[in-house]
Amino acid sequence: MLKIDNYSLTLKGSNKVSLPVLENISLKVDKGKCLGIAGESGSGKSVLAMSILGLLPKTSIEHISGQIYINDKKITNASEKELNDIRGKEVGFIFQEPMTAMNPLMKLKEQIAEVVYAHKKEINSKDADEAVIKALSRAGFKEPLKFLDSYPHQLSGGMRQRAMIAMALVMNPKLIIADEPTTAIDAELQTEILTELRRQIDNFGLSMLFISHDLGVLRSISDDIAILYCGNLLEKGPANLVLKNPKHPYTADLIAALPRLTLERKLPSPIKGTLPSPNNKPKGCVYSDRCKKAKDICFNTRPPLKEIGNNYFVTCWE
Amino acid sequence: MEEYLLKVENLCKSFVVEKSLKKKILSFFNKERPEAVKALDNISFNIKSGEILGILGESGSGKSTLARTLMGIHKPDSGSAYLLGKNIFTANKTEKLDIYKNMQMVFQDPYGSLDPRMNIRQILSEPLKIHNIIPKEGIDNFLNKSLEEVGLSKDSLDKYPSEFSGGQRQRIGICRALILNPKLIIADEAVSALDVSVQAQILDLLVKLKEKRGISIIFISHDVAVVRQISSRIILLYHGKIVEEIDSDRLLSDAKHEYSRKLINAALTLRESGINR
Repeated sequence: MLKIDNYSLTLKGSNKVSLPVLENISLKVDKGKCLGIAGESGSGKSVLAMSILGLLPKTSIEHISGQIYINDKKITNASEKELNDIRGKEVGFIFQEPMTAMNPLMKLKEQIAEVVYAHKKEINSKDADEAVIKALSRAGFKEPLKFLDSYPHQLSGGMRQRAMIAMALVMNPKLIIADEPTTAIDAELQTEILTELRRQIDNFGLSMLFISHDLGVLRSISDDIAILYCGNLLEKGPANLVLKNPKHPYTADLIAALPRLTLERKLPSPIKGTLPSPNNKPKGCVYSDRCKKAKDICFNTRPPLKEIGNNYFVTCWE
Repeated sequence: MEEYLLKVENLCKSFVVEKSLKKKILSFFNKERPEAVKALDNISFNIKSGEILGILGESGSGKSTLARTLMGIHKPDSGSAYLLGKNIFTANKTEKLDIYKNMQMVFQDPYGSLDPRMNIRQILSEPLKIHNIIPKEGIDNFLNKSLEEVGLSKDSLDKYPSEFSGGQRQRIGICRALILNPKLIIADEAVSALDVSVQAQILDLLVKLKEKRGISIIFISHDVAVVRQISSRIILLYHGKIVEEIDSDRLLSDAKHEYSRKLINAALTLRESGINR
């Protein structure tokens, strides 16, 4: 469905500084599968999501290499018109905050139908409403008709999030990119939304790229997990293997930093220091300055991505 | 008498529901009383010095209203709160200054809670100015020492909030709350907006500060796992009422109230077992 092949992206920083925000990223999302991308803020995960849909302003890009394919279509050099055909129709996008991602002055049906009108200029309003109702019920609205004329503020948090899902689903895309869709909401609502999204994957063969800083959330929804740090892929493999027996020290440290509800009550152990900025990365492994296991070679030479199992890759000298 | 650092008794606060003009006029002629939501309904609790008390609840449970009422941002309908034996709500202006010197707040949003046009020196010295405190070692020395204590480098004073990451801004917020050397800090969702790895750093910092300075913390959050880890005792809020008060060690095994179990089970699914697939 989605294939990212050796993709690198350098952005223009202020004072003519080059910012290599993504370096040699290779990922793929298969049909009916969910790839979870984990990373702290500043790791490049949102930039990656935005470059898949060509949402970064052209003027901010200094250099791109590698390719991104959606459904075998090359989109790296696609024109704005070609991208507009893909956005919303082949790829749906779920944003983090429904309160800011929706227009507070638009009724739910207008809001969702906007996507339909953008792709089908000739459609009449009855058919458009029909599509909206279908999308709402697919996103778990039991009585979609009741909510067509509602404004975002009249919906509960969970419904707003479901409306966002409906908006992403309305053109029946094959791929969904979800950027932190459950961050900063209550646990019960989070599980509800995660269950809903997983249902879309299992029942409709939807493919999904799910971005989050929380490995606990990713474990629930993903089949595969990729760990992004400082624009580099550090580990990538089947979710259960990566989480149970992480091969990269960074993955292990991220897991140790998770708040847990195990019987023993202890504080999560923090990772020391902060993420280096893109123009000031360590010379060797990007994690070497914070890694507890770093050796001489880690500080001097960047490790290659090596395959250590079926569909399992890690970037570490260990 | 001074057994507790803070003692809250029967605190109530309700908000009048905003109505459309038409409904307002109608209810005026029908002599209806304005509809009100009880955000805090008879809240009583206390906190000892050196204790971290967790307040747990979902959005809308009244936890932020509680923090704001204690900080004097909202006026309570009834009830009382004593900090070191002094009633917060009946105190006059000078007494209040003294009370709030000992009770400070850390806010949720590390972006919205720092004035973008003030540099770090101005942000941190504002409380000192209000309380007319001149540090003996000189203001910059004092501020640098405080910054170091929360894990920020010394060259930060002339920088502006926009030059810091979310985690660093939260450290600045904590530093500002600590600058008057208070006895109690109210942290309202202080780590909710942060990545898990940075969350762990801030929790670690709060615990270390508690141990070093002997301060008390009221830690408010919707995250069961985080509250349980950092606090020794937990109060569960639901629709403005305290539904349960329990030791953190006993939360998973002994929490009785239906609502507590619901929260715990949702958190267990999310944090430990994963959703059904």
